[in-house]
Amino acid sequence: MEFSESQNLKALVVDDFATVRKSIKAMLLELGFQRVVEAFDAESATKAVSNSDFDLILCDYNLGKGRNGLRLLEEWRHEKLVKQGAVFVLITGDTSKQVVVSALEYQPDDYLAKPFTMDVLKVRIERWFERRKVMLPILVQREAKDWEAVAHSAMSVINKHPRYRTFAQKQYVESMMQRKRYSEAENFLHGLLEKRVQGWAQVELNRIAIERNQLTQAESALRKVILSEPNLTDAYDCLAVALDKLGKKEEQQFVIDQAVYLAPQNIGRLNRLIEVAIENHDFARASQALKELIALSAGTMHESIELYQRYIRSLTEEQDLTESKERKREINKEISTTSQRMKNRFGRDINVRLFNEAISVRSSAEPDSLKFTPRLNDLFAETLECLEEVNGLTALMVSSTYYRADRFADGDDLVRRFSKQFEDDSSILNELTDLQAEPVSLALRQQAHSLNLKGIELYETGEFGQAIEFFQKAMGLSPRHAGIILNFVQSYMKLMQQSGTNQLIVSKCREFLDRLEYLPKDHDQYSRYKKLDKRLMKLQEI
Amino acid sequence: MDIQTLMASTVHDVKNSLGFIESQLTTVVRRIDGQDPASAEELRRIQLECARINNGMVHMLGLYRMQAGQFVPDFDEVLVTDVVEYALSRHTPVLNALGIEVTVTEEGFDGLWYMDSNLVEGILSNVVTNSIRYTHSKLHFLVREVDGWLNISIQDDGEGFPDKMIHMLDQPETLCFHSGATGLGLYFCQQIAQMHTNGERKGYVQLSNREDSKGAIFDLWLP
Repeated sequence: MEFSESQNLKALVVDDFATVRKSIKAMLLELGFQRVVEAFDAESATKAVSNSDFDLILCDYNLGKGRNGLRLLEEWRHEKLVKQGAVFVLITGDTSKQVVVSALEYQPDDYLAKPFTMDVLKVRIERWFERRKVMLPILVQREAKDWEAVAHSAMSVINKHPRYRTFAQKQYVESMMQRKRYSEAENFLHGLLEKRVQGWAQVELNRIAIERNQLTQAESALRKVILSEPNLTDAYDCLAVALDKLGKKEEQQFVIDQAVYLAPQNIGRLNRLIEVAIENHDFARASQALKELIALSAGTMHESIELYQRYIRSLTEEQDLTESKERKREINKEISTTSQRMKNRFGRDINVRLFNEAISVRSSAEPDSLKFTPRLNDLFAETLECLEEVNGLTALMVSSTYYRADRFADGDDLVRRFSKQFEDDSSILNELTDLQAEPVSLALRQQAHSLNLKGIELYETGEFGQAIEFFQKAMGLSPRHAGIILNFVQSYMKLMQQSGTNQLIVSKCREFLDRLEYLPKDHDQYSRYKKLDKRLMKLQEI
Repeated sequence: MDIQTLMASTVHDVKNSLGFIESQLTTVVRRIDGQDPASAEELRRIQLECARINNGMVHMLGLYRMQAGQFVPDFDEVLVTDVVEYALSRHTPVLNALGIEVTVTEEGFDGLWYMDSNLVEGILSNVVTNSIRYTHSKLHFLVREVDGWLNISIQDDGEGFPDKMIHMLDQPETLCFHSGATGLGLYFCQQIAQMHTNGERKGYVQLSNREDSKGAIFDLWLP
């Protein structure tokens, strides 16, 4: 669509100030737009774009309460509420593109600083429509993932429209990367870099290096790029990928964190930070980032039950690990306000009810006390009733609550049912398996683990008696861990080889070994378990 | 609330008000232009002052962000004359009304350069705001490449810069509150120019007067 045909064009103006809207609307009408619709907030604007097609959208960044202009752009493009030919321009109050830069996958066509005059608008509008027109074929081909066509169109833009050369160069490189034609992409990038050092081109070169597994080389090159262009968030993301592959998880977290600081609105990156922090057992950072994420997501398409559940889950892990009494109290409060918020927001969903009930039982000092028996019975019944609607996080929280209350049979029962239900979701499935093997908090798991290691050291020096003490302590913390139980039983066997069989000890070993009846055949301790089981049986026969 | 949020929301409010004043003035100017050209001219001067207040707000927030290390330039390759055109379009009505003739010439390169176009547009617009005050009747933009540098040169036909102003760039720390111009705008322009680097080279701005002392020259050099 050319601007010269603007008689037929429709525009939408979104701003929370009526005077600003009126003045922009007047300008657009004078410039020849046929229809100009006004919207004052996120809701009314979304309604407007759902009801009709616009060619131009001028949207203020700051819309008062609720979603900002960028989140609207993201949502509308994602939900395809606006056509691809539509121009979206973000109006910012303080000129700074930097507030919003690289915040999202969907970039606005342009930024416009307030206040602006009609002449500014006139010059820009012509450019915007020309730009969209040039870009449109590439955008359509991208969406269809027709990378060969993207490469072709990008080349044509590079040759015919120098004004949009960088945009087209980036598209060309991406199309080559998508088709794994790394050498071609590399040659192209080297050609660009010979003319001028450009951060984005350096980043892309290193992306290729990572694909080729030249990880340390990519790491040091990307660190250099960041030194000279500290604001290039792509470089941080790429470096994080290299560090991940190198197994440098803590550095990876640090690098993503730096990029999050630069562009705090990028939800995808915040999610990656949370993932890595959890892998690193840095639940304090994970909780904080989840809190930021919830604040950013409020009222947007990113807000979900799972988000609140992830936050509460991270808080419970952090609570078990933190030494600070004050933080423990703070977390209690935070968990209860978050549960309440989740309930206010998604009250009708069964996941909210089950999850909150489980949390409420867990956070009491004695979840295994009799007073919770009826509540746990009800929760169990209700869970079975709506099994199919239960999401992964609810499944994990509810199951772990039964282990916490020492109702192992119920816990195992739930894990078995959920394992079937989530058989296609490997991450939930793995967590369920871990939970069943070690249904205790991470803090306890870690303590048990170090006691177990000490026990193994003693066992290897032949100090079986002392080793048994450590294994027993470890079992006290993590009563169902296969490795620890087998170590305990094996140490006693050794001791009895030296000092003779004692039926009291044999029956004690039997009791512990029977805890492992849940062990699936493909468990890595299964054959060891079977061997010890057989040997113990022989001792019992004597 | 932290100081930056406070400043940003103040700037936001002030700019909304400025936008309103600006559009009201435009309406009034258009209404009275035929009958009372003298008043219309005065109102245009007021509009120009609005633009200066606006620049001041931008500089304040920008410099604060720079000090806090949160000023994030975004570099891309752009058509330089687009940036000039955008900057000029902010001042079209005033330039036309005051009868200032604007020319843009481009010399010998493919016209594309690597820069933060928003920030450079800000610098140029700033210069135009000031030149309108002091020039006689002309404003000339020269865009060219010299030894691997981009030079955007803006010449007017006014009285030229006072010596004090020219020396201000040598001692950027001494902001002067006694003369009418504090030099803050100039300092801001210099900072923005310096954020543009290419290898060892760093951008800068330069003030000079024409040899025939018939006008001021503002030069922006970007590597």
